[in-house]
Amino acid sequence: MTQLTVAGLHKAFGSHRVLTGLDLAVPAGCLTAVLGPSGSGKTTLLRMMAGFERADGGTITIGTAVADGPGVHLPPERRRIGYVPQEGSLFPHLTVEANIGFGLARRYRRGPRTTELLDAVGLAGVARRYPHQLSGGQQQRVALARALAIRPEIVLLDEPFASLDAHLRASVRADVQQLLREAGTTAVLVTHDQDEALSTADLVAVLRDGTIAQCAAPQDLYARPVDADMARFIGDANLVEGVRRGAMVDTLLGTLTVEQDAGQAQAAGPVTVLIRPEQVELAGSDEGPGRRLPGRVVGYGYHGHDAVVKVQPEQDPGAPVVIVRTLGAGHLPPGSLVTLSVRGPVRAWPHQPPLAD
Amino acid sequence: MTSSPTLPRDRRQERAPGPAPGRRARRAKRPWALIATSTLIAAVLALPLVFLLVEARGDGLSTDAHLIFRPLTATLLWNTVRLAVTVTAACAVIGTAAAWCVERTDLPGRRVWAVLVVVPLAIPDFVISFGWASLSTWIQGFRGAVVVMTLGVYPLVYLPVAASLRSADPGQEEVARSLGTGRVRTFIRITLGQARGAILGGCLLVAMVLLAEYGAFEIVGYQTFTTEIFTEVDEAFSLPAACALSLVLVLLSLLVLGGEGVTHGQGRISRSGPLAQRVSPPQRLGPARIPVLAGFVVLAGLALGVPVGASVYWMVSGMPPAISGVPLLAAAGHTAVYGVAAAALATLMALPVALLAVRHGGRMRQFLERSTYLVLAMPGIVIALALSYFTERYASGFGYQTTPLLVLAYAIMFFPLALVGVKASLARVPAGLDEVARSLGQRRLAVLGRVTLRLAGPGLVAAFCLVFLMVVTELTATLILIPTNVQTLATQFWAYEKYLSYGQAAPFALVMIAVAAVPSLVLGRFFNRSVDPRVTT
Repeated sequence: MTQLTVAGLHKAFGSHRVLTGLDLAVPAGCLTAVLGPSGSGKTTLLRMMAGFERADGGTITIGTAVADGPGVHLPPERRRIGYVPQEGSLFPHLTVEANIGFGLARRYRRGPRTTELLDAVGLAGVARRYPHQLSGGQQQRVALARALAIRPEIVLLDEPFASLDAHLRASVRADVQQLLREAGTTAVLVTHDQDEALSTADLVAVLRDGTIAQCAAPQDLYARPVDADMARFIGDANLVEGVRRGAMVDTLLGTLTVEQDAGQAQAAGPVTVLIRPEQVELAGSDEGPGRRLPGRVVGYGYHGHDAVVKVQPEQDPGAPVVIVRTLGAGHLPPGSLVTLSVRGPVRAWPHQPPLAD
Repeated sequence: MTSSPTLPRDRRQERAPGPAPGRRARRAKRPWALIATSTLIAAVLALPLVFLLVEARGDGLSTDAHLIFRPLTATLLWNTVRLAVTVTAACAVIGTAAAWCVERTDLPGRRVWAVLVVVPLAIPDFVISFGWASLSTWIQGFRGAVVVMTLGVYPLVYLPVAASLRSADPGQEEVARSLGTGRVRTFIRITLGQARGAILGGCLLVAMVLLAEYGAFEIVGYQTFTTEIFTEVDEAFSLPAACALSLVLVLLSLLVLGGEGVTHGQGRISRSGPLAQRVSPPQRLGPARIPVLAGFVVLAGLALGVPVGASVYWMVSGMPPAISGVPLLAAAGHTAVYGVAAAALATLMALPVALLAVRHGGRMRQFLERSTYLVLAMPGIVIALALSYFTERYASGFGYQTTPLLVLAYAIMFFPLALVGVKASLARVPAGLDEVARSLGQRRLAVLGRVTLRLAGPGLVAAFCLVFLMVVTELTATLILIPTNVQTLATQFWAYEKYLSYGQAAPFALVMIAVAAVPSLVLGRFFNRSVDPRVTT
């Protein structure tokens, strides 16, 4: 069931067109992330869902009711949207308890609902404190509890973790995820952080050029991006050129199998091939050339759980550096000789003009 | 109701406001009520200007030209302009320096000085003038006017500059220092830059006060447009002449107001960022602290000590009463009633206009807000003149010299002050809070009551106090519009002073200072309190 539907949404600020016919369907009970670089219009989209901004065109439907459409603009207070802004925006003159109870009718403000939420966010001990006496993570949790208190149709979160310290971010993110799951609430999260989107959301919608370029589960988004740009935007990517011959493609890294996909009708011709860094296998130079590509290490980044090695193919100094993610290899100083091979099928798209990196 | 598997049954019970979305989805709603109210208020504020223009037309253009182009006008113009330039410059220097020392240095007794340097604002300029002139004949003419007015109005620069220095990001200064900029150059390039808007804004206020002042100049015998207009009305009973001079005065004020465009370029204030604000460690004055401290002592002595001391001296010296007047208590009562009524009216009038300006940008609304500033170009005497002329000619005297008309005149005169205060306090409430409150199901009016006004409260009180203070110390318009047989503190003081009955005048001066000091202390507290994180946001 779809909880929120956005269709053909347009929005411009003066001559600056932010959204150009955006479509998005948010399923009920899911956490959907809207992912996009800064300035892509994701906050504008969220603010329009909340009713703070008006659409220039298109419709927004919440549940079964049209909230925005031709001649219709439901004011924010009648949308039943829980909104959690970036900074939390707690009411500074009210206690934690009063903040959470703000949206409830007067007689319920100090009732069981408030207590229940205080417990849920684990802040029962600070119910009488004022926002400025809380840490950033606590403020964010109060903001979420305040939004959930009104039992909204949908919760909108605008980069809710961006203002938190890195070490807090992961734990607050997990708390929020759990709270939303427990409440069974539909939620839309706006973020520019791919890791956050991939690890938190059930569904990720990538906002690009004023529309949703792709909307898919995180795994699908990573494994099957719609185009090379998307591949580069979601995670690290080696994009190499190749020539396709049916199910196979000839590349610098050998002849590889192309993943079969309904959308990939073209059977022959120049293509751009996506090879994820973890698809590349690294071996010592003594492994014998065979079908492996010899190369020289030009960069080595150690991350504890894994390492990222950058390899310049030997035979073709003009070829792009290949990024390899490896679990096993020990320290590889720059200049080391290695050989590369590719594991598993790859994605390929009909050739596009060279992409600036 | 829309059905949703994620929502429990009892939600209606928990969340009272409004039916489910969709049932009464309406057309986009603009804040029409606010726009209508603001337009009405702008119209009321425009009344004096309209009356003045009507009045000027009534006399015929040639009469006006004849009355304007004469040597007297040139003299008045020269007097007014040179005084305005001199005093404004002096106030800018004194006010800024004092603000920086109090806000950013380790000056001993900063908290006490923060209050003492503001108190002269509570002393009517004509009382300062009286204090000085009654002690020394040296304080006369241009010289006297400069000394008296500088001491009386420099807080108008001090207050905004201190507030802006307090809220400015101390990080900028630290970065400048770290980039190798010295102390002095950092002060000039960063600190003064941060406070520039406030300094210019303060100077603007000073210049406007100078154009409107009457009592202080009358005492030191300095002739400006305002004193001349008053003389034409009060002694020569020449309305056309007063009216023609008023036109020139209004033009002059408009010219000064043009400077407002320079200070206005700061745009809408929208604060984002962490709630808590860092406070910078004070600059060390080192060996300079002794001369700086001496400077503050002298400033307080001249601006506070002389007028208060002179009043006490005249009261104690027991001169025989020259004329009879109303008792002190009765006068104080009238002053308080007028002050409270006018302050409440002005603050109420400012609220819709400020809400419109702060919360709903847009060209038409900005125009509306700007247009209300036109009142600033109308010195009190002109407003009083216009209102009394109107009641005389078109209402056959109905309302002339009545309490409602006087209160309305005050409210119009001090509307810009109230607006500045209300706007500033509303701008301190982040717009995001309003949005969150609305998303939680609260209507605009409920948001206003439960969030916006609650947070803006201290600022509203400050605006109220500011207007009250101005009413208590107002003399010019009061003299023209006050109901017959009623005396306020200011008018009774003026009557005694005029007949050189200093001993009788002095108690009224002291009570005026005491009454006005209360709001000015509240003001000082309010501006100091912004350190409190609950108010800062």
